[in-house]
Amino acid sequence: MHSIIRLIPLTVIVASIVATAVFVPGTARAAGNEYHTIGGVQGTYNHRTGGWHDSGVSGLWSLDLRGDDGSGNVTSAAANVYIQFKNVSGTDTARALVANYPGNCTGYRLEIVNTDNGNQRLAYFSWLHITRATVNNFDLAQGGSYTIRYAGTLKWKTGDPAAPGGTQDPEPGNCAWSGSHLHQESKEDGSTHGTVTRNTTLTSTYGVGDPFNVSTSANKIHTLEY
Amino acid sequence: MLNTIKLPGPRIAAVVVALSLVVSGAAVANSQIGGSDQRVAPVSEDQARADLPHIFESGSPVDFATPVPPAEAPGDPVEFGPYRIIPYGYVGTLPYEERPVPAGVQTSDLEVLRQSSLYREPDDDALPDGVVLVAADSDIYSSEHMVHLIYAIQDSNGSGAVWREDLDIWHMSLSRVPYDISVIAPQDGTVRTDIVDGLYVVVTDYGPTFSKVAVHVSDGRFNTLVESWHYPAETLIGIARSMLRR
Repeated sequence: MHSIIRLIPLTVIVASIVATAVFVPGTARAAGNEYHTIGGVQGTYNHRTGGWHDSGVSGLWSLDLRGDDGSGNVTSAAANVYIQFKNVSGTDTARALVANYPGNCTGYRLEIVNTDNGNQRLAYFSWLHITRATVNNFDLAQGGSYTIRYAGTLKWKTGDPAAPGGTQDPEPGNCAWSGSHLHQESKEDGSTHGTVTRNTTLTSTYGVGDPFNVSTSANKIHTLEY
Repeated sequence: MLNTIKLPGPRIAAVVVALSLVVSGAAVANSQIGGSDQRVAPVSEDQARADLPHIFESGSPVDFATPVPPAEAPGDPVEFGPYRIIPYGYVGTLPYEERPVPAGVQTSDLEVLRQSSLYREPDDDALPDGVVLVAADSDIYSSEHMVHLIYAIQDSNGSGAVWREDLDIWHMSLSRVPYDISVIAPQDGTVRTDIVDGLYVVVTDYGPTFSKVAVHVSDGRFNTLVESWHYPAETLIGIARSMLRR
């Protein structure tokens, strides 16, 4: 079967890939389960260091963040990083399976599955550019709860804002990295049933105003529904 | 030569150390740049409360947990060919060397990806019936650091393409050696190492509850990761072998 692809004109293959790259899960079933991811860097405030960047690559929806003291000051280039989910609605249980992120950039990739529905695959979430701590697989809490897991510290190099001193721990040169920040991304699992949307209303600094109410647009990065 | 290790990982060190005495390590000649990665210890709930007061004081329940520690000391990382397997719970320094690679571009254009020195497609007879290439990209990297191929059975549901029985292939440059593979998810699965047809193989199996399998395969020059929820490790190893033994 695979040999057939080699006989198909390239334009057809490219068209096919474009079609699949914009694939909207026709089988997606929104059953009222909703989770939000929140800025993962320690502190009340997170500062967005750049806009959304998906680079047209298979729907990678990514945002770069750093810790902020609320006045625009970076709290620490080596800030603690937490994986943070907030349950908004729904009773189906979900589990996060932890994997290494492929390639030279360091971090974690979580695949979220619906354990109430045959481990149906929902979406990927990744946190990158961190000096890693051990992270277990974990269940996402329900009932309006936050689920928080420690992921490690932001990588940093000399010259970063609020660089802590001591031994720096940068990313390898072969990871495209411009200095200390958290790259937080999500991607729908193209074969399954979750829907991920990104919060495009985020301002440069967010978490300000009503950081306790994740239903406000300023306090979510991605929304997962299934 | 097959080595199966039930996670968590203290025993992984002993088993893989034994294996490492048999096989030679990765060639790291021509390394250009040295560096050091780290692993850090988990934080306490008190520290998490101090870092995230707005969460813990919000009135909403918070599920915070530190990882279950291994029953024994984690042991030291172990090199296996070009790979370095990091025991579950390890804390410490991880030196590495970097090798230069050609310039590339971040892209999801198959034609551009085919120009990459990493690009390889599996042999037809290594793929499960009906599985074809459905998408490709370089993930967050350049095309000389990463070529990501998605294979699946592709159907139409009338409104668009639908994939099923999918598998992912990541071709990665060995521009950082050793390449670290962290042992994770100790409550669910196993990790095993093997030498197959002269290739270094590291299999992470998420266990019977979660049927996902991830297979790293390397000939010392290239590093290929094949991952799927649908096919056994042997099928994924066969796919990788068909791309590396040419």
